Amino acid sequence: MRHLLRLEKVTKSFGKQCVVDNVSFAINEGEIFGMLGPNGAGKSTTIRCLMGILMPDAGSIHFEFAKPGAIPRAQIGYLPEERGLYKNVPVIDTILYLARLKDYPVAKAKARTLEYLEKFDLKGLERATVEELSKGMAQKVQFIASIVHEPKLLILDEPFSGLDPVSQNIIKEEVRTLASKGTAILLSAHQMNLVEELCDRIFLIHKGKQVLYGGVTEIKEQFADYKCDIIGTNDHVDFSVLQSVGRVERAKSRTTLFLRTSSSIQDLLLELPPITVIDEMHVDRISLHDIFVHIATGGETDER
Amino acid sequence: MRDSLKVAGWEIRKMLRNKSFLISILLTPVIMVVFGALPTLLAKFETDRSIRLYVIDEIGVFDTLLSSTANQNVVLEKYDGDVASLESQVLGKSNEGFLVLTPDIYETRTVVINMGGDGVPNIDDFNRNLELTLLRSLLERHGFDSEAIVAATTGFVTHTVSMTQKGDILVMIIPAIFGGLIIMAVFITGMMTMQSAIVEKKDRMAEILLSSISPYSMMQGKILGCFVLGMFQVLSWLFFGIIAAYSILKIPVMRYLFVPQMPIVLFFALAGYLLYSSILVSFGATIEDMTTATNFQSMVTMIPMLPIFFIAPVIVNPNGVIAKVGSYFPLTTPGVMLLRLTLSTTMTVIDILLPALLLIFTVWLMMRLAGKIFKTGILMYGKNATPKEIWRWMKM
Repeated sequence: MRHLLRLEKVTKSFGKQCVVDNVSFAINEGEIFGMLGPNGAGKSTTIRCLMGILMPDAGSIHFEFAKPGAIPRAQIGYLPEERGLYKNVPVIDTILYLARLKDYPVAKAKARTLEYLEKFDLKGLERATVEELSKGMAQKVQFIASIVHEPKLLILDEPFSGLDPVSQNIIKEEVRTLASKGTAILLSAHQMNLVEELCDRIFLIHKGKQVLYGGVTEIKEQFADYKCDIIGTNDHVDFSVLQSVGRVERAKSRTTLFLRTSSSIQDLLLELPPITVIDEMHVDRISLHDIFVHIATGGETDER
Repeated sequence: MRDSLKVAGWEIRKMLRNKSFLISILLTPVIMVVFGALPTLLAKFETDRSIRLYVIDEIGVFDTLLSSTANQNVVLEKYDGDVASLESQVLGKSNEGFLVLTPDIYETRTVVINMGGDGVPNIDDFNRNLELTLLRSLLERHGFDSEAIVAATTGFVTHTVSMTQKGDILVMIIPAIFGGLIIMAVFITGMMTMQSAIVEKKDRMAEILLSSISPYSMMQGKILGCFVLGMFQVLSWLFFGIIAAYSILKIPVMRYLFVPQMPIVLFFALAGYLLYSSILVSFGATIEDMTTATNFQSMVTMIPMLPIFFIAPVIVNPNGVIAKVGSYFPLTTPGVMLLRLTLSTTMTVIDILLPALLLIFTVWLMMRLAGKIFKTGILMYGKNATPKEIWRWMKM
């Protein structure tokens, strides 16, 4: 699979503050690539750099389908975190204007817009203004505006925020369809379950620095630790003394035991004291969410 | 440039579909005419009402006074009774009054016209006639013959004329009105570019647009689009103005518009538009919401109004020191030069060329600085930019 976009050692500072520090990654054709990081980590600045909205201070950005140094804006679709549509303009006019700016044929854009509006349950609303639409409907319109010109690279910054589960599923399905047709998708999101579900590879950025980069499965294997949730009143039990347990979290009747890398489920089961109250027990590998929280709150880094 | 044209096309289409914009084009001249003419019409309504004045004449001037006020809004009536009964007769009647002419007035030189109700009607013409009649009566008492009296009391008329500004006054006035229309359009459309930037920021469209085009194209497109809209406004007003001037006043406006100085007038007007609109569009990008604009930002938006301070001194002396200072201060150059070009006939080539070159340089510089402010400001959300931040962006 060929790289569609490659960032090499990109650095961007505002005044004395380095917001993006020596960041490198590549996105492949037809891949859904997750870009994660806590608020203020440098995600939006990285995205703005690769869109050409901001110029990086150092490093290079190379698009497979453009001349070296050029940013093929017409081939990129972008749904920014700060959502916007003209308030008093019919949605189809806004979408066609954006398609025109991308040098996409207007007639084709109009046909595709109507097709997508129907697909997203917005049929007949092409002349409606944003003020007449619900927030979810407006977000679908914004999503259509970002894909109507058939981009080779689609950048989605928090595409699911504020959407109900049904709308989330519609967007998720469309993202998968676009990727299957070869569109490279850069997805920035905070819903880790969705990232885990959709993304092939992820890139975690924290305080402007690259923290994690690789396939979702690889990363989860790298953080191959288990966690065990025990439901029951166990205030009287000190699990931290168990050799297989690295960390304990308690929330009401739920106790979460994070196992050490060297420990197995069997080790834990053999060690559990007989006084432990077990109404329910769930054993799982730690999730991307746990890895994200662990690193974002100052855990170990693994730059590869 | 292609991207700028696309943005300009969008701005034009968006506004031309906006009913309030189209209505404003038609209504603005109507509103201006109404505001200009209505106060005069209403005042005329009051002025034209007839006033009845009773005269107690003890010096024998009533007949002379009556004949000289025949065509005025004052009806004179001689009264033979006493002052007290006359007072009670007119009291409370705003259209009635009286005056008493006794020999004392030749000493006091004062005549009081007592009105029966509230307010003081406009009877200036009658007052002038009364003053003249009394003056002639006084001269008569001093033994002058009537021919000498008429000769002595007929005034002189004085005029101040410019030796360099002779001929048809319309040659100057019509290009000046056209220049004024352009200045007005420059201000309105300059504000339009600013509003457009604010709306795109407020509607969170800026970042989406900047993912397709450069900030410079976006800014240029706005300036160009609003310029076309401004010209559309001016030409619409001109169209109605020309028809009205030709059909009502019989003035062939077109003949006066195609005068030699018109291309220079247009140059200064267009350069002024580029200067003001680049300032306004870039500052629009630094404002989160017009209602929260800082004093500094509000002051910047008033820059296109600066030439107003120069209007009076430039009219008095279009080649004076103040006019020249205004011509070489870039923010007032367009307005002052438009005025001077229409008022002065003795401007040299250097007088026109130097301010023009200065203006071209300022426009070039301002466009560069505006681009820097615009590209950073338009992506700033949640707050207004401070003067310190704007200064830092300009240095970047």
